[in-house]
Amino acid sequence: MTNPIVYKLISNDLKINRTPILMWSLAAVVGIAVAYFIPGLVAANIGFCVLASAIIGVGIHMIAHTVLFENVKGTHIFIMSLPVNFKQYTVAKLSVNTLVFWGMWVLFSAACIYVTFSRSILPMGSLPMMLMVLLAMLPVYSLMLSICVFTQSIGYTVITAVTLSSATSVYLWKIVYLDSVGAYVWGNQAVWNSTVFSIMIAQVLIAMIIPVITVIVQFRKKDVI
Amino acid sequence: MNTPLAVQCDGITKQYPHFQLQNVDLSFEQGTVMGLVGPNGAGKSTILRIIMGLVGSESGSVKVLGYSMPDEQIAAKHNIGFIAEDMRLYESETIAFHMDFIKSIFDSWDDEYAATLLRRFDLTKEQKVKGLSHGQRVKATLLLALARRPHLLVFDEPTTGLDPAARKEVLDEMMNALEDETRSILFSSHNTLDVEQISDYITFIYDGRIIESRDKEEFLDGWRRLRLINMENNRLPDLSNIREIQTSGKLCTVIVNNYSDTIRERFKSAGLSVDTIERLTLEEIFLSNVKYAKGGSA
Repeated sequence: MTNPIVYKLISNDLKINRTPILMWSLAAVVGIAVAYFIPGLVAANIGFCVLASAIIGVGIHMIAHTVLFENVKGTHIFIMSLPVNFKQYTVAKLSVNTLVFWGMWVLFSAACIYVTFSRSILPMGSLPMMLMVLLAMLPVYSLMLSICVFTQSIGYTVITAVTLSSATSVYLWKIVYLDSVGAYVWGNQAVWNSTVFSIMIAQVLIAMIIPVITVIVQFRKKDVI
Repeated sequence: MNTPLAVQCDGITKQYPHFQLQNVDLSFEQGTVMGLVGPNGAGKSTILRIIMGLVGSESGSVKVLGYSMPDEQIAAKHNIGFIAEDMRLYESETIAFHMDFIKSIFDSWDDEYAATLLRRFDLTKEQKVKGLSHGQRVKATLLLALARRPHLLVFDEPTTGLDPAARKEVLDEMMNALEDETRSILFSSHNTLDVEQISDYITFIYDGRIIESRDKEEFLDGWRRLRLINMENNRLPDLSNIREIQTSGKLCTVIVNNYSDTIRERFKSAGLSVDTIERLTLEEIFLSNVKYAKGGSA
């Protein structure tokens, strides 16, 4: 990704979406403030919900505006008329979305962990589980983004989002009922066993491999529009 | 020495479920204007998109300004300005935003020319795209394509949906772009008047096939309408040039391609008297060509 045109496309998308990104970031800050400054579990939950909504909101906004609507409205033809090939276009779209989402995710995760454990809202034993839940957002987002970039279809993207939303709930339930995870959740000490590490590494790897596969598959496409 | 070709397509094909581009050969020299004429769905946009590297052909080869497409599309697109009817700018942004974006990509961007075009098109940089009329949007897109000073302009239906005044402005600016003799234009339209006005070469496309591609003057010179009087109901000579025959009593109207004086003599020797010989407009040539391609020939 050393090509200047890719940076220009990323920068262009960031400029075009600067206001919504700022608004969602403000919502995230409000969520953190509520969780941190207002004492009690209820306020923490409300704060985390606002924060989670902000990260999901910015993710969906970026996918919709940088990929889907660009295709529907015809702005992708304008972009593809520039000295850009489809591989660079795909890399730029995946990068800008990943950059914004992962940026918000880092903020969200750090705030969740800090507020939860500095205020003793949950015992330290829940830290591995919390990290696994947070990391689960990354492959889910990667898959949704890749399906969107690959199909450029609102229908397929919505179906993927709905399916992944249900599948993630089932997946997280499965994890919490694993003995090597669930048994330590309410303990006072975080237990980092091989199951926890394997799940976390797998989630990160999947989140990283999916965009790479998408670029490879997209590069084989003959028709850009 | 031969003038280098702006575009050279050899035997390109493309298959869609309900449409097929068949063995398209198309070429024209740098410094000239090629107009693609065809009805809706004929394949004009597909050809232009293949030329731009946006759609891949299944066979054949495409070279644009000497670059092989789509493999060398990045280098080629540095020298091409492309406008398509379904191309849109970012609605939430201003014309200035787009100008800055294009300027950041093209070293050849000409600020002075961009300012001139803004004035000529009655546009202001601060206008947001969503507030522009269709004509203004086309002009803004044209400005972005022209001010980067490309060697080749590829326009897909640039004047569709424009009022006569805006259409004239767009066509005038296309002509102005040709002041530099190395610059070329390839554009598609189903408006034969536009094509007749600015093209050096004309290609007719119908149902995914090129049915005729020639120099404009040759085109207009080659086609004639002969009004014949057939008093004795003689049989018309069997000429391969005949594209259309209409008979009304003793009067017979024949449209021929590749006209020469020998054709008139053939009619005379067949016992018909030639009343008038008229040139055809490009629109009439186009309609006759399409009718013939559809199988509605003489």
